[in-house]
Amino acid sequence: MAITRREFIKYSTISGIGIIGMLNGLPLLGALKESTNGTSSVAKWMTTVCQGCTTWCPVQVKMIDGRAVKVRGSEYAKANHGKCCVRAHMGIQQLYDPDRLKVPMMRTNPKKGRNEDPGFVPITWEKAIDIITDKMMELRKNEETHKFVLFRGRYTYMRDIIYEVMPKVFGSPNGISHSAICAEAEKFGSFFTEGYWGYRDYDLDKTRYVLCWGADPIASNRQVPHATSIWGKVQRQAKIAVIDPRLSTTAAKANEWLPVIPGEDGALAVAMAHTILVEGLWSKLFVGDFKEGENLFKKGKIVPEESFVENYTYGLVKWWNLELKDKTPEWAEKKSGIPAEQIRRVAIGFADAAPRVISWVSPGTAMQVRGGYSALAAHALNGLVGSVDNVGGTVRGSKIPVNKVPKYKEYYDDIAKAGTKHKKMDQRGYLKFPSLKKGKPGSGVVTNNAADAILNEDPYEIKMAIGYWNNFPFSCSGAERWEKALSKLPFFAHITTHASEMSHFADIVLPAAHSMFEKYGFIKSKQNLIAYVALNKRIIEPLWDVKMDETEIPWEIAAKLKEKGFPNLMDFFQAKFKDPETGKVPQNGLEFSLFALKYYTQPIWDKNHEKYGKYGDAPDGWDDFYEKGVWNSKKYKYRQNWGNFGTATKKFEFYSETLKKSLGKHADKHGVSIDTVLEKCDYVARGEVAFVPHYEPAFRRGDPREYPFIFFEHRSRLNREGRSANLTWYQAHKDSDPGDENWDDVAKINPIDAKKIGINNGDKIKLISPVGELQCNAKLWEGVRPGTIAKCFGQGHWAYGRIAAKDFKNRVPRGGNNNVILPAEYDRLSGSTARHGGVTRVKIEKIV
Amino acid sequence: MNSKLQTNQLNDQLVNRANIYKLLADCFKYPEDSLESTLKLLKSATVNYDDVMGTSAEKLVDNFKLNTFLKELQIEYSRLFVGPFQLDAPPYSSVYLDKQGLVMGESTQQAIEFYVKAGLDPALEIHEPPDHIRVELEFMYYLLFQKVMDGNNRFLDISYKFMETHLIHWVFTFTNKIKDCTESKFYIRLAELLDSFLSKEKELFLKYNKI
Repeated sequence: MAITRREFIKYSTISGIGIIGMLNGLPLLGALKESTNGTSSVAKWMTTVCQGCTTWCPVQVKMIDGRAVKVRGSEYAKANHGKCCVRAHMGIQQLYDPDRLKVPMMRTNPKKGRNEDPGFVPITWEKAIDIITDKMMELRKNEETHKFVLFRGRYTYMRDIIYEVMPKVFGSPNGISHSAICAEAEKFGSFFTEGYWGYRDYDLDKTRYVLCWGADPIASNRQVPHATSIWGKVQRQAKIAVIDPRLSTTAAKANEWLPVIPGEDGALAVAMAHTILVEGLWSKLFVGDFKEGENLFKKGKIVPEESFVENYTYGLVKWWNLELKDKTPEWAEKKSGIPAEQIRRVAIGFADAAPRVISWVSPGTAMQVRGGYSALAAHALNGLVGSVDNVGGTVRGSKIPVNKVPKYKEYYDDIAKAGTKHKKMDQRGYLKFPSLKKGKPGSGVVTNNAADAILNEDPYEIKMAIGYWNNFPFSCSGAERWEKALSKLPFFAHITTHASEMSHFADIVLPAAHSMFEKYGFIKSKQNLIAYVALNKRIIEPLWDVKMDETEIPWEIAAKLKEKGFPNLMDFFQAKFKDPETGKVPQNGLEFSLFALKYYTQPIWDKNHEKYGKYGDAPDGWDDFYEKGVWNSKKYKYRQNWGNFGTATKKFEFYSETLKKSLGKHADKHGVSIDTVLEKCDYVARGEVAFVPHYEPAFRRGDPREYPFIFFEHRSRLNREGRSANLTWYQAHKDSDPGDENWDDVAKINPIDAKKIGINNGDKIKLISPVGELQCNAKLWEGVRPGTIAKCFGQGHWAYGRIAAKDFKNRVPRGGNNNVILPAEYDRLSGSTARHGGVTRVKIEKIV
Repeated sequence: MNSKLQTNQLNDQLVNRANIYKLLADCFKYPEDSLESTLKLLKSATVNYDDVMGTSAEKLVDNFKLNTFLKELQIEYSRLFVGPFQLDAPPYSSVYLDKQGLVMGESTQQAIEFYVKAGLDPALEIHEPPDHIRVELEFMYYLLFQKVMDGNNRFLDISYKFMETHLIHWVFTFTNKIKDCTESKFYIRLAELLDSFLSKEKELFLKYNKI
């Protein structure tokens, strides 16, 4: 075939005699260009944020010649005071992972399934956005905009642009977050007692007793850098007790380890409350006292309500009468497997050291079936001893002055108005999903149920979805349902740094800017009684053709939609996100991202703003704030909520009128009684006891005769959420999780059990539950109680990268994904996924 | 021997080598329609340069049929060098040369320093790390081009240094990876061609160093 004239001229060579480029006298360069600049090798520390867990620490990255080479905590951050944990360091390995998604790609094989090769080929951003917006316009044309879903994963507070505004202005109510697979049940505990739906902060500096409910602060979320650096001081001045079925890092260094039978945390909590009352150790200042002075809390005895006067709390005696009076440590020993003597000792030690104590409720105790009540009981201990909102205790966060997303409803057209009237697709608010976020029935997401909603087309069919920084077929229990749901979903675009299990079912994959090095964003968080805002920054020139997930991509979509006749989204972006300093209208995605960042954080850096300098640092304008990358609040003011807790009674509620009201609303909506709600939602409580922190027995799948072991999972010191498994540092240092092994994924089995069933260290085994099975290696370890098996979450990828997956071609995972054997169960009152509490039993088979 | 003839022969050699580098570099771009003409020119250049290589290149070219092959090649190219999910044959020096197997490692920095010495920057528009095989092969083309056009040995020196301290240390592992991970005859042949070319290059600089 003849070479075309164009190609001839391009290569400027005839029959191989002349050198390519000869005719022009210039080399024909495509991958290099001539430059006049030299490079400098001066190292510079640049500020940004680590999002390896949800502590969200301000960090600094050392840059040499545009390469990120090292990480440390930010010197400007008062919260983590220059410290970071191991996860931040691992960010560099993530950034420079050759397996990262480099360019938008399109599926060429229309069939979807785990064993279907998608046949992804690179396409331009232009083409990718074109395809996505064609699908969106089709939904508009057919007035089916509500059949669009935005699945949110790891976010910054720029999230409302993609998660709220884009779907809604387009015409869908479906911004579906991941929060229910995170820690919502924990917030249930603090909300229905003290009216606070949020993570607590902990005054470790001044505390005298730390009671950890599944919390492992020196290894995993949250506040790891601060906790690690202050833990020596805490050990010297305080006692530490850890309730955890596993000998965690924190437990290994604690005074007391209570290896609770998974799921029976509630028994310990109520028994401790019983003990504190019987021993007369409640806080007289915070709670109140008997009118006559005599302690009437005696085992088994009803107490007259009028005999006690409460100060800042409400319902103590009701609580005693309904629940606590019989819940002795002896009773709890039978349920929890913890000796009565230890329960009593810890309860008394905790209360003796009060009020400078912390009852630290973490997802381990909360994210269980019925775990909302365990969280309630464990957090109520803070109320009993007066440590809530107090010195050395649990506190909230200081005020952070940032702007909210600008009002956007005026940009709804008729299609959007109709579309957004539909209910959200995850079935929140259904009878079986009360999801009482902040007390409002049906307002909390039920992330994991979205898969079933798609499969059953209930409330309606979903035709299109975009997901970002998530991987639900890996990170959600009952993982297989997600594979089915995504196979059914007609169109899915995945925004991600790494093509993962979820990407495998996508039609388009879009490379995301890395949150720590390549993206503009901001976070709000707190540690060490300092609240802060920190900026995600683009500190390197991205290697690959990435775009910022929450801002650049919606911009490109908005621009294309405008071209295709739907301008509302772009109109909103250009009207509401002008540069606050110059008034300039954004002309491209990068400008939009930067202006949006300036807009959101304006109260912090704008000297003319009424909130400037009022709540903390007063940076010298935008440039100074941007350079430092962090704003610190004033120190938290103790007891600011005493007398004005955000509950129905304004008190710290032991008998939760707030919960009673919420449950009542939900029951009324469905025309049933509260007891019916509880029954349908798998709670054992009936009647009044549903409104107090109380014991609910552990819920497990699997007949003990067939599945003899209780399976439970835990987190890793090294997990950057679910994203570490492809990093060599993760694999090479895995044994920093007690009991785990490097370059391995082990099920930790007590040697007593192992001997009985003939399992040796290193044996290849299958863990089989009623819903699935996984393969891994056996590790004999005394850090789990007999009858239970522990396995860390994070491995078992069959996609994600050459290290994370053992053999991607044949879909063979490295290790096993716990979510394959964990059933999709919930703490339905909070909508949370129940991944803890020993929700399933398993049997072990040796692989020969 | 006539020194002018000798010089001409050397120059011809340089021209062919430069062209082969450039054309091989372009073979490691995402396959588009232009691949066909690239291959044809590659065949000319290799046939002029070395019989064995010429035959190899002929096989590569003659089996290539644009219409039927391009889509398959695009999928295979993606699988080997782009992803997603993982790269079967990462085309970056630092994955092979640096302990952690990441991109933007010390060896990437080493490559950048060579480019800077020659007055070049990696072109960011290609959206790849600067030690991508495309970039390194094109760099060698550039250095030989400058030698041909200017007669200046400075660039030739850089080319041998680059070969000796950097390129040959990873490229053969890379080509082996391709051969191990693909069943595509095209990419196997391309890997073999790159192999034999760089083996000859290696001999050349060994000879050069002895002078």
